[in-house]
Order: sequence, then structure tokens, then C-alpha cells
Amino acid sequence: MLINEMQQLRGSFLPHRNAYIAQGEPLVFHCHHYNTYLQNTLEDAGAYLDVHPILTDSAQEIAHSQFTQYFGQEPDISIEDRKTVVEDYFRFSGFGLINLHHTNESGGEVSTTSDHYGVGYQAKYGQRPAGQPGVSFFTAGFLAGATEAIYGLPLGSLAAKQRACIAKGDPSSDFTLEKTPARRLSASPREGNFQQGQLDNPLGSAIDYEGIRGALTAMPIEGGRQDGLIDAFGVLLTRMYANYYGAISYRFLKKMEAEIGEDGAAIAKELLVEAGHNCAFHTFGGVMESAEWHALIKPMIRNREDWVHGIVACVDAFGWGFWQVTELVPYQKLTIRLESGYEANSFLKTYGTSSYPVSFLATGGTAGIMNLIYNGDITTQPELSPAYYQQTFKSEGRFSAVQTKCRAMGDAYDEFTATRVQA
Amino acid sequence: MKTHETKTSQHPEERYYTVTEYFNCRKFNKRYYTLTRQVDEGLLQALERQFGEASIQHFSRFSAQAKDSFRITNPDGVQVSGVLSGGLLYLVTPLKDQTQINRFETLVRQWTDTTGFL
Repeated sequence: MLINEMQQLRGSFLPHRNAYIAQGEPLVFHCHHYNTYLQNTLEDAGAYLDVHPILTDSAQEIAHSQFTQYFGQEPDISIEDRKTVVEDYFRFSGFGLINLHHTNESGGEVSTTSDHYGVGYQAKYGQRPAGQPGVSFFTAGFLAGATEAIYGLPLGSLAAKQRACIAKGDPSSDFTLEKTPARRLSASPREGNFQQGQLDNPLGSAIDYEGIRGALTAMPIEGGRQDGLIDAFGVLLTRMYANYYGAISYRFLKKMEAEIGEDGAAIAKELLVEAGHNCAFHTFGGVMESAEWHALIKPMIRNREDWVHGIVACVDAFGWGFWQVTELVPYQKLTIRLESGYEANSFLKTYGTSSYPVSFLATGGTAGIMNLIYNGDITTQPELSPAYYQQTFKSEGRFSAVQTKCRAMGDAYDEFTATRVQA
Repeated sequence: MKTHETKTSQHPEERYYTVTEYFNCRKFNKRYYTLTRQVDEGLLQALERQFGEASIQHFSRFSAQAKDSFRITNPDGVQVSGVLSGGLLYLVTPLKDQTQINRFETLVRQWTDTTGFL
């Protein structure tokens, strides 16, 4: 058994950074709704941009970086054992089940009946049309990057293609890895320009932020042995690479800006915030309708405002940085201060400064909290259906958020304010 | 997109519980039950005998106000979760698997009858 090696690779939660770090890669919890919606957002721009390499290459870069660092520290692990710990990491993270034992330094074949993107896509959107490519771009990139690292190959020396896809009705998702002429891929920004901080309990709330974070970060959340998926809170969760979101989101934004100009950038920003709304609706909503919420947080709640604090306290266990409520006017306004947000961490390291705010997920998330609690009514445990999404996030009187401070623009922290959209 | 429906109703045997039913996009049926009694060790053991071993989240170790939760996941696609010393249970079953729902509801009614009503 390789228990110690598997544990080392999985990493740990760092309270002073509010981050999960696994061999230099920050990890964040996100669900299949966000993952597949964000991917679809990019694919929808396929008429203008070649987005599929973004989706695959970004995963390859990060997996290569993470596993190269680990195997560099542990050079005595055999090739077969390296494969075993990578397979375990894939399952642990909720990415699914893979078997790498038909791969070598020249490539090979990998087949799975359960991967997060394949299962998640089908669950959210139904069967993918036959004429389209498979949906598991992330898995393909991961396989290429991990296999390169296992054999000590340079980044970009292998390429992975998906030949069959469970989301298209195939019995398995099949991937071929092949040697390829060296491609210029970029190294992961790793831990990025992170900040240190501390978790504060806001005055006037009965919510025990520290206790909630401690309880949630101690939960044994990992992919199942049978399917490699994390079925929790009514969604399929992943311990996803924060840098994967940064890479695909900002490359999409930059390409849209380069190809279409300011209008392209404006469209991309709007779509990325909408992906954040989708995330908030399903993940925050799912958490607030779970047994865990009713056990851990509901006993602390004294009023509706504590629902806001309760979900923000949960977010503080997602690896998304330090979220703090700095102003809450019931039914009217929410301001969130964010330190060490994973979007800014990644952007600052990769691109440096920006002339506009770049934390799109957090912008959508801030609006989402208010829409769930003050525009809809999550306290009554409504079904989180598309119709309810329309009712809470698209109706007159809905909340919309703007990013009022941005670290990539020189501010000391990120800040977001959600208010009602005026008719 | 697949269709979604929500049905909230007073169960005919509402002296045991009220139930809200969802049809979600995961091909599973989700129902939550508001019980007329608080979940105790006896109910948890009965659920484990019927559906499999529970994993317990000891949240009360982290915050004095928190209660503990449990979750049972079995290979037939049934998931039962709830709050220990709370009055709420969630049941997730494969769509249209009325057999599992019946097993669950019968068990809860028997437990309530055995332990008495509040």
C-alpha cells in the first residue's frame, strides 16, 4: 500500500490562507453545475474561438506541474506506484476513476466508465449530440500531464484525445495518449500571489465561523470507491485545481478581447459572472438544503441574516480565500470583503495587473447569496430547478453584484457589493 | 433540460411526518421528511439495519451549538441523511423506486409507533 504517498499528494488545509494546497497546487471545491456550465460557456464561443485546446491544455499544464513536483520530492517511487498514487488522487478529488496501467512513455490508452465531466454533463444537460466532441477535456489534459510527470517527460510532449464519451451514450469514455511534436504550454502559476489572513467572527451574528470551518474542513469528502465521484449536498463536487478555473476563464477572456475587442471582453465578463450565479444557485443552495446544514448551522441561526453569515462561513471552508461580510442591509445590500481569493491569486501571478476587475466567480457568488435568501426564499427548502433559478436570478427585483475593489487593480483586497437591479 | 416537478403535501399519515418530494435532474427522487419525533439512536440503528452503515459527522465537537448529522449510502442508489436529535430526514432513491420509499416510510412509522408520539 502507498498510504503515506497518497496522503502527501492529497495535501492539506492551511487555515492562515484559507486554502487547500496539494503539492503546490491550490484546490477549491466546485460542483458539476459550475464545471459543466463554465465549460459550455467557453464552447458556446466556439464559432469565434478555438476553445477546446484551452480546456485540455490548461489541465495538462497543472497536472504536469503538480505531479512533477511530487515525484521530484519522492524519486524512489516506482513507475507502477506513481500510476497508483495518481489514480488515487484522481478518485480522491472526485474526478472519477482511471486506470493508467496501459500507458507508457510513448502514450497509451485509458478508459473509464465514470469521470466527473462525463457524468456531470449528462446529469445537467442530458445526452451530448453525436456530432460533437466528447466533454471530458479536463480528464484528457489531466491524463496527458500526469503521464508526462510519471515518466519524467517535459510538458507538452504528449497529447490526449478523447475517442468515446459516456455523455454521448458510449459505454465508456476512452482516451488515447500519443507522443507529439513539442508544444509550447505554460507552467502552472502554482500557489499564485496569495495572502495570509485570519477568520473573523462578525459582530451581531450568532454564527460560529471558526467552528463551521473546522467542522467542514474535517469532513472526509472524497470520491467514492465505486465511481470516483463526490456525491454531496445534492451535487457532484470536485476538489478542483483553482488554477484550472483561472487558466480557462482568463484565456477565454483574453481571446475574446483579442478577437472581438471591448465588446468581446464585455460578453466574456458577463458570461463568467453568470457562471458564478449558476454555481451559487446550485452549490450554495444545495448546501443550505442538506442534512449537514441542518445539523451544523441551522441550530445557530436566529434570523434571516444569519443565513447569509451561515453560507459565507461555509464558503470559508471551500478553499476560496477569506470571505467576510462587511455590510448587510436586509433585503437591500450585501458587501463581501475577500482576501486571498483564488481568482486574484492566479491572475496576479499569470498576468500581473488589470485595468478592470477580474474576480467573476466571486461577483456572481455575492449576488447569488442575496438572490437565494432575499429574492427567493431558500429557508423554505424550494426545489433548485431551472424554473426556480429563473424566478430568483432573472426576475425583476433580483440582485446583481459589482466588484468594487480588485487586487489585480492595485487594491489591498477584493470587494463585492450586491444590490437589487432597478427596473 | 429535463422537466422538474415539486410536490408538497400532507402525508395521509401525517401524524408520523410531512413529506416534500422533488424530481431532480440526477435521475433520483429526493424527499425530505419533517418528523413528529426527534431522530434518536434507535431510529439510526433501524435505518442502518435496513439500508447500510451510517457515517456520522460529529459537528458538535467543533461548535457547542451544532448537532451531529448522519448519512447512509447504499449500492442500490438509496441515500438517507438526517440530523441526530433533529426532526428532519432526507431520502434519495432512484426515480420511481417506490419499493425503497415504502421500506423507508414503513420503518419510520414503526419506529414512531414503538417510541411514542411527542
